[in-house]
Parts: sequence; structure tokens; C-alpha cells
Amino acid sequence: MTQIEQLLGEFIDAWKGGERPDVEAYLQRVPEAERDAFAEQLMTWLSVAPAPAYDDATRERIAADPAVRAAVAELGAAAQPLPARIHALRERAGLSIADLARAVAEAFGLSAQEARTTGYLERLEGGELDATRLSRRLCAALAGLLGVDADALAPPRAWSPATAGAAQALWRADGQPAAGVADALEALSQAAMEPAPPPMDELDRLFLGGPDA
Amino acid sequence: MATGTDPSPVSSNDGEYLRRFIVARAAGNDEEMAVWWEALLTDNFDRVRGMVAIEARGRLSGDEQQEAVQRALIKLARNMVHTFRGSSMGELVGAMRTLVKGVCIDVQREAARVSRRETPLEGGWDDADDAGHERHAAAITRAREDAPEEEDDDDVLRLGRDFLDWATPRLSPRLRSVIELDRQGIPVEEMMRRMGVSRDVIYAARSRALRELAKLMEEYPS
Repeated sequence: MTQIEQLLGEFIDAWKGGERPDVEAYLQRVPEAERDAFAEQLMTWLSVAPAPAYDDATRERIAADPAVRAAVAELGAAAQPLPARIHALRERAGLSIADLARAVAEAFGLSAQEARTTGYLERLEGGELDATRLSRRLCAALAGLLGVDADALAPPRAWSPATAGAAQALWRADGQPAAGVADALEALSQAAMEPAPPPMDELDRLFLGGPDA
Repeated sequence: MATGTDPSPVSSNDGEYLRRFIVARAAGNDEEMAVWWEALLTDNFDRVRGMVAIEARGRLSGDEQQEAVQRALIKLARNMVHTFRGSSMGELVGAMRTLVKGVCIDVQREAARVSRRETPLEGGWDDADDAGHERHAAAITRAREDAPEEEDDDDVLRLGRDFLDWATPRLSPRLRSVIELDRQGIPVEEMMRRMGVSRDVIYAARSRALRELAKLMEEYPS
């Protein structure tokens, strides 16, 4: 058996046993000439291995690592709904809603619309706007102004278990979809009879026009 | 070979954490998502740290490696809780590997700017030295850029979910047994008993199985 096979075997046994083997230390035990090959095998293992079954004490030690604690703190902020995230980031940046509105309006060449932008931002943070209707352009601009990656403020998808359930009901109608969608068709008919809403301007599109607006 | 009468292996929790995360995600329950994502993050800390140690080997200093680990975890926490659309640990681990590589490149570039290095460090990451990995990275990147497109999510899902399903049957029966038992967390002593072989045989088979899986990652059809 080669030295790499022996060390790889020991590493995997230690990993599976939740002993937290140190990759760097194992690499150092291999002659320089063989280190690349050993590193490749370790990476393959890390790419297919299940997480070890840590005991509670070990998990606590991991959770206490400063790097993990910092990440968990970020997670707490990131897991909030989008309006709350925007609010928290704005506060962290020391900006008032009016400050942020001014910057947003300038970013889109809408300086004359500052007051309306403030109103939209107030409604957004207050949870009065449908966050799935925010445009990606607006979210990216807000992320830039608030100093975070665009991903951190990506607009949520307009998908929900409710819509998925409706879609499944349609699929299950098995040749008799009319009964299942009668209410929806009625609602659509009524909507078609109503006067069209006023056209959206650029600011409306940013806040109400959907991700692609 | 494995038998159905052996005691249950010690199993890891990450699959269950991911399942609960997915349920919370489908329900739009941000608080629950955070709870299970934190559990996943904690259980995969050593994996991320190990990947950084390998990826950054000979390219980043000790301090820079620590910086890379921290950045990878922050991105995992802050961004991937929203952008990860997969449904299997394979997809999550693939995304982690892509994330680690990107972070290490960023840290190296910043370090190079600060120290005004004019030549790339040895074995630069600019070389496309891992076709399978690059393909995976491209799929993840596409999914992040075009999040609303379900087709892109499907690409990522397929890459993560199907690789081991596709690759494992291509291994010889002995190698397949070893890798499957390893993935179930079966202790080596139990593997020796079940397979009726020595530790040395298992260690040698492990090494060969991982070499073959690495090759298969490159061949895996996109």
C-alpha cells in the first residue's frame, strides 16, 4: 500500500468519525512530489463526502469558531424578508429614507421624482408593496447604494406553494379542467371588463413592474 | 459486500437539515430557512475549510487562507441562503466548491494588488485545469445571473443530483461498495467485516475509487 493510500484512508476514517482531520496537516505528511495527487484525492472526497455525524460537543466547538459566528450573524440579517433587509441595511448605512430616495432617484435620472421615490420606499419598508414586483434594476441599485452584493437584495420569486398547488390542481383535472378553473375564468372575465389601469411611468415600473421591468 | 442485517450506520444530519430547509423555502418561511441553513453551515464548516486549504495551497498565505474561509462562509450565509435553488447535498457541495474557488481567486488577486506582485503565483487559477469543475461553475453562475429561469435551475439541480447516480455504477463492484459504505459513514472496521477484506484493501480501494470519480467528474456529460 502506498503512503497516499494509507493517509487518505486515515483521513477518511477520521472524517467519518467526526474527528475533524486537518487537511493542511495531512498534506504536510506527504512528500512534496506526491502532494498534488494527494490534494486532488482529498478534494474529490470533500466533494462527495457527507458531513460527518458530529456529536453535540463538537458541533458547539464549530459553532463557537469566530468565522462561523460571523457568518451566522450575517445569516440572521440575510434571512429577513426583503423589506426588513432593506430597512436594516439602510439603518446600518446611516441613511434616512429621504437620503436613500434621493440616491435612487439620481441613479435612475429621476431627480424630479424624489418625493414619490420616498413614498415608494416608505411603502416598501412598511411591507405595503409586493416585493416580487420590484424590478431587478432597482434591487441591484439598492444593493449598490447600501454596500452589499446584488444577490443579497435579489427580488424574491413570484412563486408560492399556493400557486404551485393551483398548478397541480389543473394537472390533476384529467380532462375536466373547466370545473377546476371556472372561478379563475370568471375572475379573468370580470377583470377584462374593468377599465385599464393608468400606464406606469419609469418610477412605477421600478417598484411595481416586476423583475424584468 | 453489504448485507441488510448489519446494524444501522451512524448517519450525518446534513441531508435532513437540507430537507427541512427546502420545506421552509417552499413555504416562504424565512426564519425556518435561517435555522436549517445555519445547521448546514455549521456541519459543513470543515468541508469549506478543507476545500480552501486545498484550493489555496501554495497560492495564499496562512492569513489569506483564513480570510478566504471567512469570506466563503459569509457568502454562503448571506447570499446562498437566497440563491441556492437545489434540492440535494450534491448540489450544495458542488456550489460550495465553486464558491471556494471564486473566493480564493478574489483573495489572491487582492493580495497581489496590495503587494504589487507582477507575476501570477504558481499554478495560476486562470488555467482551465478542471473541465468538470469549470462546467459546474458555469452552471452555477448561469443560475445566479438568471435566477427566474427554471431551465437554469434545472441545470444546476441535474449536475449535483445526478453525478453520483451516474458515476457510481461506472465503478467496479468492489470500488462501488467501498464508496457507498464510506458515504453512509460506516466505520472501517465494519466495512472490513462486511466485505471480508483487510484495512489495507479498503484503503487501496478508496484511493482508486476517488481517482476514478475525479476522472468521471471531468467526463460527466453537461
